[in-house]
Parts: sequence; C-alpha cells; structure tokens
Amino acid sequence: MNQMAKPLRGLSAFSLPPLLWLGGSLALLLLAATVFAPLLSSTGAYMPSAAVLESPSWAHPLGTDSIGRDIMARVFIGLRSSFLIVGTSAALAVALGGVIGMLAAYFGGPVDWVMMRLVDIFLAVPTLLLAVAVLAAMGPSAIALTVVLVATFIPHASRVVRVAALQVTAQDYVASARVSGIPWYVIVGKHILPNVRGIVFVQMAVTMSYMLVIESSLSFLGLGVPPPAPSIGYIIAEGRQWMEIAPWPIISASSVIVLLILATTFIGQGLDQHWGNGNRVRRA
Amino acid sequence: MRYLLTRLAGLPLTLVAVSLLTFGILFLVPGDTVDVLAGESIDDPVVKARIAAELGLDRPFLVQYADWVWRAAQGDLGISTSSQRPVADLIWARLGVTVQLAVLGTLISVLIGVAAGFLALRFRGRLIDRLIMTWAAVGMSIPSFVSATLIVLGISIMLPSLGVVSYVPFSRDPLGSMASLMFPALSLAIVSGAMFCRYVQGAGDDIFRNADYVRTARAKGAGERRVLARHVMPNAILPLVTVAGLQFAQLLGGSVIVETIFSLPGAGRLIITAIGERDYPVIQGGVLVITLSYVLLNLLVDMIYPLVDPRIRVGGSAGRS
Repeated sequence: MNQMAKPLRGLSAFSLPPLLWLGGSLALLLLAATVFAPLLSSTGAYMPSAAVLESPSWAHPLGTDSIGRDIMARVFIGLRSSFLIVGTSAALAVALGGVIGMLAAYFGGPVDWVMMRLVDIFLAVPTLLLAVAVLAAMGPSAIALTVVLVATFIPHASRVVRVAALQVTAQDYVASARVSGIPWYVIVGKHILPNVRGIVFVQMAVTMSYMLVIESSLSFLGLGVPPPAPSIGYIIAEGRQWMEIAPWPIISASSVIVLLILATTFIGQGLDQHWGNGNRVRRA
Repeated sequence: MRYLLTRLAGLPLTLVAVSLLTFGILFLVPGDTVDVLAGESIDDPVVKARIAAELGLDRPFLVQYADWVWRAAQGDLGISTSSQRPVADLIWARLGVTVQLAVLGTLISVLIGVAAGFLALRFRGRLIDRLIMTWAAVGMSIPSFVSATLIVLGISIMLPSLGVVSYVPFSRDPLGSMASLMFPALSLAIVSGAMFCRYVQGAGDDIFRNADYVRTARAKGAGERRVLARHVMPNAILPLVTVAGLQFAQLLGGSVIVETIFSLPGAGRLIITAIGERDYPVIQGGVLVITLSYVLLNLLVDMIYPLVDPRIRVGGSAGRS
C-alpha cells in the first residue's frame, strides 16, 4: 500500500527501474521517428512513382511499394496513427474505467455489484472478434476504431483500479473524511485518486500495449484507418502480395510495431516495479 | 462453491448481452436495414414494405430480437445473403478446422512454454535463463498476424519448394491434417508459448524463493535437480490448466487472423469473407457461435480448476474479487 502511494516525484532519473529506462527511451525514439522520418522522405507517403518495388536505397531507405510509394514514410506515418489512436483510446479507457472503478469501490454494495457484473460480461467475450464484428458493421474509420477500443478496455481498467481503490477506501482517513461530512466526490478526488495514481499509470501503459496489438490486427484485416492513409497492419497486409520479391514493407512494419508494443510493455512493467505491489514484481 | 454459483448466475446475463450485441450488429450498419439485408438499395416503397414484412423487419426491435434468439436456440441462424445457404450449415462445415487449429496451437504452446520455463528455472540466473526470458518478453509482444506473416515469408524465402501447405481435411487423413496445420499452429505458439513460459517461470521462481516445502526438501538433502523436478515443477505447471483453457478460448476468437493468412477453410475466415461480401447473417452467426464457445469454455475452465487444485476449494471466492 505504501509502495503504491509513493508520489510522482519519487520518479527521479536515478531511481528508475532499468526496464522503464529501456522502454521509455525506445518509445521516445520511435515517437521521434514518427515525427522526423516522414520529413526525410523525398516523395512522401502518398505520391506514387515509377520506382516500383525497389530495394532499399539512399532515396528510399526502406524501399518502395507496388505503386512506388516510399515505405519509410508510410511505415512511420502508420506508426504515428497507431500512436495517436491508441494513445487517445488508452487515456479515455483508463480515465473512464478508473472513475467507474473508484466509484464502485467507494460506494460498494449494489452500485459495486451492478458495475462489476457489467464488467464481468465484457471480460467474458472475445475482444478481437467482437471488435471485428462491430467495425464491419459501422464501417472502418478512425473514430469507430477509437470508440471500439475504448469500449473494449474500460472493463479491464475499472476492475484493476477498483481493487486498488478498495484498499484505500478501507483506510481510516477515508472513514474519518466520511464522518466529517465531506462530500463523496471530494473524498474520491482528494483521498482515493492520489493513492491509486500509480496503478492508473501502470494500467495506462499495459492498456496501450494490448490496444496496439488489437489496433494493428484490425487494420491488417482492413478494419483500421481506411486507405490511402497508411497503417501498420494495412502495410503488412498489402505487402503480402509481393513479399517474395519485396519483403521490406513487411519486415520494417513488423519490426516497428513489435518494438513499440515491447516498449509499452517494458514501461508498464517498469512502472509496476516502481509503484506496484511487491508480489507482482518480476523480472522481464 | 459460492464462487461457482456466482459465476453460474452470471451466465444468463452474459448470454443476453452477447446475443443482443450480435443481433444488434445489423442495426449498426449505416443505411436502411431492409437495404442491408436485401443487399441492394430498393427505391420502390411498396416493394420495400413487402420485403420488410417478409424478413420480419416491420416488427418492434425486441420482438425481432426474441424471434432471432428463439430460432438461433433451435439451430436456425438464418440464410446467407451471398450463397443462399443456411448459415448454420456454413459454420458447422468450418468449425472443425477452427477447433483443430486451436487444439494444436494450445498443445504446442504448452509444450514449448513448459520446456522453456523448465530450462529457465534449471539454469536460474544464468545466460540461458536470460535468453529464454528475453524471448518470452519479445514473443508476448508479437501480434499473431505478424508472427503468421513472418512465418509465411520465411517459408517462401527459405523453403520455396514447400510453398504454403494447403489444408488436408481431418476426416481424410488425421495425421496429414495435423501436419498441414503445423505452421499456422506454430505461429500461434510463438506468442502463447511465450506467455506459458512466463507463467511457469514466474510461478517456479516464486516457489523457489518462498515455498516451505522447497526448504523442507533441501533440508532433507534433496539435490537442486530433484527439488526442481519433484517439488517445484508440478506446482508451477498447475496454474497452466486455467491459462491453457483460457488461451484455447482466446485462440478460437483469434482464428479470424491466422485462418485468413494461411487460407484455412475455418469459421474465422468465413467471417472475414462475409465482411467483404456484406453478408450480415453469416457475420452474426459466426460471431455468435465463436463467442458462445468462448464464454462456455471460460466457464468450464473455472469449474474444472478447483478439481485440479484443492486449495481453491478451501479458499472459496478469495481468488477473485
């Protein structure tokens, strides 16, 4: 409990777990690449050219695709859209799930029961398949993708935050705040939220790593951001047709998405080691 | 026992939610539902009303839903709009491949995971341990569509003569059928094997550090190997019963990806093909069948686990909150 309540400023550069260093720098590096790599491309991600299915060269460091577009620009713009969609969705899912979890823990009783039964239902269904079904019906778009991702991951976040918030709610200072007549929203905001903050950050990173898998899988199936906008999954799906003669799109897109998922996983584990409860801490 | 009852009580609620969501897919499609089911835009209002009446779309939503559930419970999932065949037949003909792939994928994952976990524990803190656990961390971060695509790429570059093996039906040649699914199963096992490995290693490491029976065994003079093989491994593998069950269910749900990549004639690919053809009855039926299997399997795993690990029975509902 005390571990978890360690304040943010405990995160000085010297006390960071190595995993957090590794994951953090990897994520920053990839983030920088999504900003700068497309700028280095002479033709950009959308302009077709006569240079079709070329091998990596100085002009096109990762080669070109079947209609002559620059793979490097496409891969990193695709990674950027993954970053944006997954970052937004994870923040929304954890924020909404966190509020639900804290309220369920604070009020207990029937409120808790109803909320957790709803969560159970969501956790008992295959995530990817239902996302596929809903997106197939709604038609693929960045908004639909975000809505589906947020809806899918609210239950996970609310369950994790609820467990942490239950421990806080049981503390004497919450009881004394209650009897002092402090309104519930102040108690939840001022006493419970600061004490589950660590868990919230861990959950945010973990959610991002899961969401990246789902987002790229959906875009692989053609249910992500609609073309011509590049997405990691779509680049890999498109590249399959020509992979014997031009494997670069598949290899480069696969590498960056796996590295990003790895980075968010490391950040999650690193934060967990820093804040998490002792018995969950394990080596990578 | 109380835990199981709570779990069972949640089932009807889950079934209602799943069926409502699956049925509701149709109404999420932009545009008029009659047009969606007819597969074309109908302008004549008289014709439209007739088709709506034929399809039962002129009734209130809840009546339509109840009717759909009632038929589905009797095995009638409607008619495919693209092939005009009963959806239930289409799914039934393809479900075997999906189940077979999930079984094979889970088996290989468990084998790889337990073997790797054992090696990591056997050489605790040494280089082999580090290498295995690094693989496990990376493996868990690979989406299955990436591992499957890379395996196909690897085959086409290194073993071009092999090509992508086409699926052999189980009824014709059981062994050949399993062999034809080896690469698809392997692409699943890279990911879930890594997860099993982490479970085994994590549980084993915990037991090595904290379990009294390890200290007792050492005090009685048991060697490290004996402690690992006789005392740690059996207990470290136990949680895999649950994890493997859940993973099996997960692989059923994830079949949409791997079946598409390896062109396997399974239920997952049926759904993906149906999406391309806007064949909504097939999408609904496929999603319903796979989701129900997933839900029931999860329940079954939860009910089996107390039989395997008596500690759970004593602990009651303490395990979950």
